[in-house]
Amino acid sequence: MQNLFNYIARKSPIHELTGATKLVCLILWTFATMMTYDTRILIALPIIAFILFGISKIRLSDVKFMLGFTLVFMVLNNILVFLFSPEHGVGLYGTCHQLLPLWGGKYLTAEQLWYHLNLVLKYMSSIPIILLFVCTTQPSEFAASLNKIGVKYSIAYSVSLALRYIPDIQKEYSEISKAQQARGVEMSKKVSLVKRLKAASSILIPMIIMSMDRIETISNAMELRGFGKNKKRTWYMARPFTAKDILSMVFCGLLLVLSIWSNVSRGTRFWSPWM
Amino acid sequence: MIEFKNFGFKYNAQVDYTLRDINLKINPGEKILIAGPSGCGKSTLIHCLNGLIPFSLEGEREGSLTMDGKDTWDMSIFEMSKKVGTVLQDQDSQFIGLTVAEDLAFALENDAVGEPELHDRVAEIADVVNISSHLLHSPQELSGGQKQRVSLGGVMIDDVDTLLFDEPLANLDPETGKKAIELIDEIHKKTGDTVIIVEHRLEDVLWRPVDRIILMEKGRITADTTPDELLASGMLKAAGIREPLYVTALKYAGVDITPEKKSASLDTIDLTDDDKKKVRDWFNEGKTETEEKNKENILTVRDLNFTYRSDRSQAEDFHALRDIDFDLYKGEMMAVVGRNGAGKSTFSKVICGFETPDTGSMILGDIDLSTLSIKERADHIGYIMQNPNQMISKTMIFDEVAMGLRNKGTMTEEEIEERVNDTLIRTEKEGDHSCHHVHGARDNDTGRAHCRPGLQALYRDHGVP
Repeated sequence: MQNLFNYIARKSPIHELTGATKLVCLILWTFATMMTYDTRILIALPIIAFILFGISKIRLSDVKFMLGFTLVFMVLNNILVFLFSPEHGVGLYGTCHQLLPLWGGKYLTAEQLWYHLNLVLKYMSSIPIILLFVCTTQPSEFAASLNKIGVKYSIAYSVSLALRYIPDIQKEYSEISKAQQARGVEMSKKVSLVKRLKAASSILIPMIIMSMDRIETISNAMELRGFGKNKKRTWYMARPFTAKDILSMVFCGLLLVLSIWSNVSRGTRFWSPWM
Repeated sequence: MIEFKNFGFKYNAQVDYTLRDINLKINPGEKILIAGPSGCGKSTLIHCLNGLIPFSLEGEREGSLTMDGKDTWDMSIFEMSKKVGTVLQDQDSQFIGLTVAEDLAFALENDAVGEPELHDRVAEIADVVNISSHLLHSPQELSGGQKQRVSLGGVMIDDVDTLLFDEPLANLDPETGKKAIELIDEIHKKTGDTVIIVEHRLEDVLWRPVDRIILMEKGRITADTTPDELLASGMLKAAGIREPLYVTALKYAGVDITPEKKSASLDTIDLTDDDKKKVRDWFNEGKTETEEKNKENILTVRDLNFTYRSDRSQAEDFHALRDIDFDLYKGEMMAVVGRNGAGKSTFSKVICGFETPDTGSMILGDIDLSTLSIKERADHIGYIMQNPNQMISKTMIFDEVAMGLRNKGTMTEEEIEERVNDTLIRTEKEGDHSCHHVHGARDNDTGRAHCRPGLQALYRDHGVP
């Protein structure tokens, strides 16, 4: 079964970085991508991202579900931007190269296509890095790293628990679904999709009740072992920073500086061959 | 020392007191067993001891409960968790840590214990409970006995002086259960901690000696005595607790069980020559009856193989069923037994269509089961799963029982109503109750829900929890 968020244990330099480093790098990288529309930088970032992805030994087949999901989202985003504002690029870049007439006296412009290229590049820069973070960071290390950058530990722990239970809940769902089929609710391909969807509602009540039970047990177990007692807690999985960690953070920090510098030095966030 | 004085407790959501007139003293270093039928208030008593009452579960109390002279109502749950460590019943969902090491470390992490002490103490406790070789495994991957060790280690690391076990034998097969009881005994001897075991599998707990047994019924303590006295009293049977099988056998043979015969364990039991003669006579008189029935084959399974394919939760393929051949005859009652992980549940899942076998045939009457969906198989085979919560999907018992018939769609509502009421009367239940109010009884409800016409086989997974 394909899982949305899942740590994949392999040996790679990316896996060896501490969770906190990866989280800081993810934030710096995302900001560097968001800040600028300088296409030269936006071409460089995905290239580095794909190289890093290769280094991490995460295979494309490991993440195909998430990848497909985000690709659909990217296409949808582009279509919507185009439909609502087909001449957005003209306004941004200040030049106008008309290519084809569209509806309502509007034109398909080279600027608009250039803008969409930039959007796609932004996706291609951030998606691999997010996937990389999710797949190479153990949930408990993730919690420790959130806590390290200043998030309250109770919140950090809940986030990691939630991430961890996603596979469990998927398993639970399929078990309950089978149990309900054994009670006479037909959900196999022998009936229409509409009927199957309707039948899936019978999974809901057992699912809710079991989740509630589960939450009660785990919160009791945590409380009985002193969770929430002190303002601070330590983490078994927390590791001290090594030179590699510092280096990675400095590298991502430089990318952000480059991205900001490109904007500031030219006085605009945008770049096109016609400017 | 833990002391209950005229103690009673009522949950806010309930009208009646769940616990009444509890007078109980537990001395340091004692090992006691609390037994009682489902719904007798054992869980509430546990919650009072570990502090979940009154901190998480609120209600009214009578009398007093003190721990080392201090009223627990004046303590915090954290203060209590330093005194009493609880090993919860639900093995799988009580694990908090992602790995065994983290789970062991959890209490220390919360105390903000730093390096290198954190890693050292985890290594030390892992050694005590003998789980060192699995530190980086996920607790879910472990066997039942290993899970028990991890949860025990997780509470022992806090240096508590009382260990509380909530049904430690649930989900363990007899052999693993014995090992768990041995482990508890070993820890008790090594640390001198007070040990409180709450369990209704009496015979298994008595595999190692306990100082006292507290018997609970309907929220009250009805006996507080040594195992020898209690077994001689006959109170267990009256309370609905199964006494050790050898005691039942002795009684059948006409042996009078008295406290002096030390029947708490087969190692200590002391029978007179007269008793021994009675047992021999009884044994010789019994004959095994074999009755040849008119055999009509209803289910034929040949050459069945099934493998769980490796995925992220499991590194290697697991060949769970190997070359299974068997026949089931009409009207027969058959039990499938085996230890944890032997494939009993997998077998039932394959029969019911939850899993698809690698090879083999399953013929029900003259139908090949592999052509049927789960639902279609369910028209012929009723399956009561181990976890009733997965099956119950309606709010009211009546609707729950009627669900199967309604799904079938071949009966009118009047016919369904008649059939359901008939089933409910047969099983002594009223349909206008909410399913989720009947906690301990849920399991039986799912059983009822399957009593419907046309069933050719009824399959029950772990009918005796």
